Amino acid sequence: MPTRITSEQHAGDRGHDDRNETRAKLLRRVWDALGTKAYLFSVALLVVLIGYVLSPYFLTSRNLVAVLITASVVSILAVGQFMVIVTGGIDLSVGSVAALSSVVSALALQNGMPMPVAVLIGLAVGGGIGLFNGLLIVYGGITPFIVTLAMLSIARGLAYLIQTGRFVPIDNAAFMSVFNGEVAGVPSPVLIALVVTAVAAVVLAFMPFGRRLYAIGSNPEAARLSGLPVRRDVLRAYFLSSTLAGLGGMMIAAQLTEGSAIIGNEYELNSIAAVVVGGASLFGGSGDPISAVVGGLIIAMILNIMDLVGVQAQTQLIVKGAVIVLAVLFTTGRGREGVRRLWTLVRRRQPRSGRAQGGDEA
Amino acid sequence: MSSSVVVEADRPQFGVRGLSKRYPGTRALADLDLNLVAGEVHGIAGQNGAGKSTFVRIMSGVETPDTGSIVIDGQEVRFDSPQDAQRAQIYTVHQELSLMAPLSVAENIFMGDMPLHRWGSVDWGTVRREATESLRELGIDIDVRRPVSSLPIGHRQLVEIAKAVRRDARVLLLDEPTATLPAQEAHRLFTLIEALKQRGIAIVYISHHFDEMYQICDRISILRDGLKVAEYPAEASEHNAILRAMLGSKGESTLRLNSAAGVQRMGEGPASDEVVLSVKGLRNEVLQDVSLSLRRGEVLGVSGLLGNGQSELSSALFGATESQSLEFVINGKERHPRHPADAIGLGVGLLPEERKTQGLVLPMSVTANVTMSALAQFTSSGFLQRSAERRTANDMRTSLAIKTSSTQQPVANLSGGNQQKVALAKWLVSGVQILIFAEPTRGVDVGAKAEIYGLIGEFVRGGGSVIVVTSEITEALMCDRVLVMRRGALVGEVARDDIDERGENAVMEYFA
Repeated sequence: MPTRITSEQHAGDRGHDDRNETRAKLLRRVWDALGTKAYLFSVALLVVLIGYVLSPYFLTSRNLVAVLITASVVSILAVGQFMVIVTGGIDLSVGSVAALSSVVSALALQNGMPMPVAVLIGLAVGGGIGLFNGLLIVYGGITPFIVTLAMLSIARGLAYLIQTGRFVPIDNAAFMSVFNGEVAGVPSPVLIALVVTAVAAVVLAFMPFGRRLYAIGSNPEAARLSGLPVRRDVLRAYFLSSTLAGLGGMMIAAQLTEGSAIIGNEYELNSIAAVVVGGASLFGGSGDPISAVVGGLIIAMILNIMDLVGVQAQTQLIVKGAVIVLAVLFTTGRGREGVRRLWTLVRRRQPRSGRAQGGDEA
Repeated sequence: MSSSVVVEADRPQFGVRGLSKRYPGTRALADLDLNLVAGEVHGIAGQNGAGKSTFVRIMSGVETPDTGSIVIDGQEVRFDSPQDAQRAQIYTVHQELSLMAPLSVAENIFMGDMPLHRWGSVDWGTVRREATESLRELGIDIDVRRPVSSLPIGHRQLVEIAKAVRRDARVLLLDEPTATLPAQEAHRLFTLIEALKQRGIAIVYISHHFDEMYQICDRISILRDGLKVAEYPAEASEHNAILRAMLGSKGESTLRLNSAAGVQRMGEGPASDEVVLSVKGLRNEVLQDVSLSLRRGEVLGVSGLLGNGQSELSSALFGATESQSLEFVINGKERHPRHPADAIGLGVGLLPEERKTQGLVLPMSVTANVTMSALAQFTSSGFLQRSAERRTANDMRTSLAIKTSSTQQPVANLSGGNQQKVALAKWLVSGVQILIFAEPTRGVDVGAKAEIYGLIGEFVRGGGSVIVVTSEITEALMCDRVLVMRRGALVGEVARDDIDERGENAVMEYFA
């Protein structure tokens, strides 16, 4: 119960409150209809505004293109990561798989293989590892976290082992133009990321496989008892995640003009961060690939703004972490509820003594 | 009161007075009175949802009652936490034991009050000696240094009881202690319970198995829908009265009424002699050599008291749990379904007992749930035909009278009865001809119950065949033929004529 003093204060502007209430109700309904996406897009917009205010360079096309190119690889990894996370799993190996694929495709090119063959080999390395992960998870009964954690180590070790020097240089023009060129003025990494995101969005929303992934992530037992091919679909999710990681690895390789065992470090964490900032639950069954990519973009823009303003790298790490927690707090229902509760607590100020007395009376 | 001094000697030491507890939408316990006498075993029986587990939760301090109280030595007490209950020397051995599996037997027995040396280190010598001693007093001989995880389930239970006894338990609640025990271990438990009686501990024994209750209980209280409907001395001669009290006379009278009018059967008997499902020698960890056959258009009931293997039978027939069989023929094909997709392909669907956790994907829409087992039907050149899905879902919503504001609503927002209809709609859309309903009306209100029976009738009239697995006797009596299960085996088959002639007695005589 509010104390007498506060209720008197409220009584003063009650007429005002009533009118505002209906408007607030309408606003809330629109807000709820948009769901978590509304939050996400307003956060993205807010970040753009902040960038605009803080740095004159932020909204220049040169800077924005640079942000998009940087974000493209993580976006692709985030799309794959999302397909795994929506089933309730996780793929910690994507960064290492990207490194391995960059080294393997660079070696293939170095050995004179034609570009398409090298690319296929790079993708196959990713896909193969994904299948291996999936088989261990589905039939080996090991939790995804452990399997992919082990693979994080194994894939990077393999990359070091097969790259004989410090890195494998790439001088294949076709490879460069595919992964780091331009099509009609649009940088190809951005284009690839767009295509991957769009295809994934369509698959998840409009194809049976996508529907099944949500069902499996929401309730694997009900999905199994409905006759869905749960094991096969989970296997596919890991296959796709790893294949996309292979693709991402070759894109980095083209940007750096080398395949290297050290690339893609922490990309697994960045892709997971993108997915959760995009509002997906790590327990599975919720979110969508577009939101995951937007989540990744929000992180990329914040890092870019800090670069422009001259924030040190160390501080940037801390801010990035804080952004992840805050974003998830706001995009999930519980966070919103928590904020609401916090708000009422602040408004009431002294709820403690009052409640204790009430309890005694009862 | 002045008279209390006079009757002190035979006055019960413990009990509950007027205990009530409501949950949103349900009455879990209403005005429960129960007297527990030191050195006696008080059995509690009741169907699912009768209020047994609420009673256990309140007694063990996990939940607080809305009204009423627990009485100890004539004093009213109130438990706000499990610690409060244990401080009052009331201990509960839950079905899921609360031991710490990786720790040793001794550590578990002394959990929370380890004897210490002067410098704060654990006095392991004393721990081992006293743990061994307290187990031996109960006639149990195990190495207390072994981790609990290495013990068979029966021994773990004994350890938990020893733990309670060492802390001078005055009241001990055993919640379905034999549910997971092999027969010989159950026997050892009964011996131990005898010893506990000698020590003057008041025991509450909750079980579905009446033969056990008659063996070790002194009295039996029967709960139904949160009410205590009767209390009997625990004697086999009272068995029929006890069963009747537990299963409910209300259902019985409506049944008699309906059968007099010639209705209240779900189906109208098999349409032909054609056998659509036949299985011989079905067995797994629970099932004992089960053989049955289902004819086209038949509503076959499988009944028995809870926990006698009925739900295992339904999942085995659907390929959801592992089993072996000598012969398994579905719709003319000889094939043992190894997983649910297999069974569905053969034309069998299961509406599982746990609707919310097994039957439906709650966060997904009515539409998505309805089409879930038939996605291929709604796919054209790789894409889901959402408008076709919505149309089918809306058709189902109309024909099954599913109450929802929209088929885009998450199933979680629907009531129990409407959720069951969505689960049924899923199978109707998938086109299976054999449906297994496990406890089809559990958690469903009375009105929706009748609707669901009607829908089962419609399904068999349309050429389908149904197995209804139920622990509610009134439901079993509405089937064309009833098989009764006990301890994983089929123990009786009751024909329709027999039911019509003798009513529930025809079925109940096979119950334990």
